[in-house]
Parts: sequence; C-alpha cells; structure tokens
Amino acid sequence: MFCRQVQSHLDDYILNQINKELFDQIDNHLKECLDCRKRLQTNKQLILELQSIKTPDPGDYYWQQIEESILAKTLGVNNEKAELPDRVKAEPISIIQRYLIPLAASFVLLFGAIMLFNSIQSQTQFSSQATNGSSPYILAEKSAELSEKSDSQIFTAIVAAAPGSLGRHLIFTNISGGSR
Amino acid sequence: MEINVKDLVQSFIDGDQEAFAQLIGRFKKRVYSVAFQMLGNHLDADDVTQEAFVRIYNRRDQLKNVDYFASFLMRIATNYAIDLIRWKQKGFVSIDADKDIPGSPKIELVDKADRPDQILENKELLDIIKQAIKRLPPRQRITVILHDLEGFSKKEVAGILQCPQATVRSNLHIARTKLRKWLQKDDKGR
Repeated sequence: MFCRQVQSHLDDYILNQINKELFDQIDNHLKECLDCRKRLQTNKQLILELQSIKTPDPGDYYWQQIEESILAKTLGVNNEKAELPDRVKAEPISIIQRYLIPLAASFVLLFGAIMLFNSIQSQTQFSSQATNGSSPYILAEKSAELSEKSDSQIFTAIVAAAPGSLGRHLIFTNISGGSR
Repeated sequence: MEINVKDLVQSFIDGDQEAFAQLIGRFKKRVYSVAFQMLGNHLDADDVTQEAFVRIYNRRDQLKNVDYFASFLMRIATNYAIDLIRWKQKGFVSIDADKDIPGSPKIELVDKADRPDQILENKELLDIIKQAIKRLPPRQRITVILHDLEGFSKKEVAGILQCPQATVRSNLHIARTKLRKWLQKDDKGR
C-alpha cells in the first residue's frame, strides 16, 4: 500500500470506520512508515480536539423558557385560526361609535328642534286668535282643551307636524279645533 | 413508560400538541448544540433552535416518513444556520455580536490536563481550532461539526445535508486538511 492511499484513509482508520481488511493493511503500513505515523499523530490530535469541543449547557431555566416560547409561537398560530383576531372583534364597537351614536344625537337634536318649533307656532297661533278678537276667557278655554288631549296624541301631532309634512295642517286644525 | 420517537412523530403529524411538546424536549439540546457550534454564540443558537421547531411544526404535513423526523429537523436547523452565516458574512451583523454580553456562554474546554499551564495551552488551542472552523466554507463547516463535534455518522450527515455519502467524505477530508494546514501554520507562527 502506498503512503498516499494510507493517508487518504487515516481519519477513518482513527475513527475505526473502515473494514477489517483495510484496517489491517494500514496497520501494517504504519509499522514500517515513519512519515505516515507522524501524519497519523497529527490527524489523531485534530480529531480528538474537535471531539473535545463541547457546547455549554445554558441551564434548566433556559430549556424551560425555550420550550414555552416554541409552544407559544406554534400554538399561537392555531389560536389565530380558531378565533377572530382582536381587530375583528372590536369592529362592532367601532361601528356603534362611528355611526349609531352620531345618528342618535342627530335624531335627538331634530326632535328637540321640532318640539321647539311647534311650541313657538302654538304660541303664535294663540296670540293671533287673541288679536282677532277672542276674549282672554276663550283663550284660556282653548288652552285647557289642548291640555286635556292625551300625551300620545300630542306626540303624534308633533312628529306628524314636522315642517313639510302633509298631515301638519290637518292635525293642527284638529288640535286647535279647526280655527286655523 | 417512555413513548418512542416514531410514535411521538406520528402523533405530532396527526396534530397532537402534547407529542410536539415531547419532541421539543427530546431534540432541543441537539439542535441547540449544532447551532451553537455553527454560529458560535448563544443568541443565534437560540434563534436557530426556535425557528427550526416552528418551521417543522408548520411543515409537519410534509413529513411522510416518521423515520426522517430527526434528519428533517436538523436539515431545517442547519439550512437556517447556513443562511445566517451567509447573511453575516455579507456584513449585516458581526459573527461575534454577543461577545460582550454578560452571561453569554462560551465553548469550554474539557480538561485533559491538571497543570494550569497545560489547561491554558489547551484553551488556547481550542480557541485557535474554533477560529479555524469559522474560516471554513459553510458546507464544510457544518459537515465537520455534525460529524466530528456532534458525532453523527456519515450516513446521517448525508441525510441531513441531502447529499451523497461520498460528498460528506470528501467535504470532511477537505475540511480537516485545511484545518491541519491552518493549525500547523499557526503553530509555527507562535
């Protein structure tokens, strides 16, 4: 066996990763060849040094942490699939905040404005009747008549009597006893 | 009674979370060790270990054969580690980024000598070998680490790196020759 052949198998010889026949051939060659024996020592030293490099143990706390971290990452993926994300869950609240509250506020303002308008109109009507020759007694009587009507009738009248409404004239006529 | 790895892998493929937790427990140290030797610092090794398990979890449907779990996991880890090395070589981050982080673990010497001067000499030698390993191209580096440091067989290394055994043998031979050459030069220089 030539030195070149022996040297190409030296690492496997050191690690005992070759068949017995080849092992014996190299063994015999090494007994006679000083250069190859020197090479064997060099290779052996390197392999032993490489094998002696150990990874330090970061400790039990780290191993526990990394396990939890991996599980959180992987299970977190599943949870996202199973449940709606927070952004989607929060959406109904934002719809209420964005649309319903301003709409309700607008309705309340409109309702208030209508009531105020009707109140002013009623006062104008009474004062007009008074200037047309009605006595204070008749005005008081009309007022009492109006107060006798039920709340629901008044509410209906207020809503239906919104400016531009078709029933405004009829309802007002009814309430005020057809004097309009 | 301890459940064998094949059964755990099968349960994991079927979607059993507990089996996955047990697989993490069994393989985390080996993945971390290979990553640490490849990258030389704790933060990157931690990153590679976590990423390897997250990726194998997401690709569990690709695991057709339960026997290949270990090599599939190590392949994911080594590929990611190689990517990190190449990324760092392009100059994005220093490979010794955590050198000054307190508590950062270092490769320690297995004491072979009792005398302080011998311990120091061994420590210096190991530092030189570590630096020499870092100079190897990524494929040769991972081959040496998997085979010589971590004790994987050539067949296992071939499975992990998805290459023929002859390539593993060749890479090992070239890497060791380079290491010897560099170490001899360094020895003469001292």
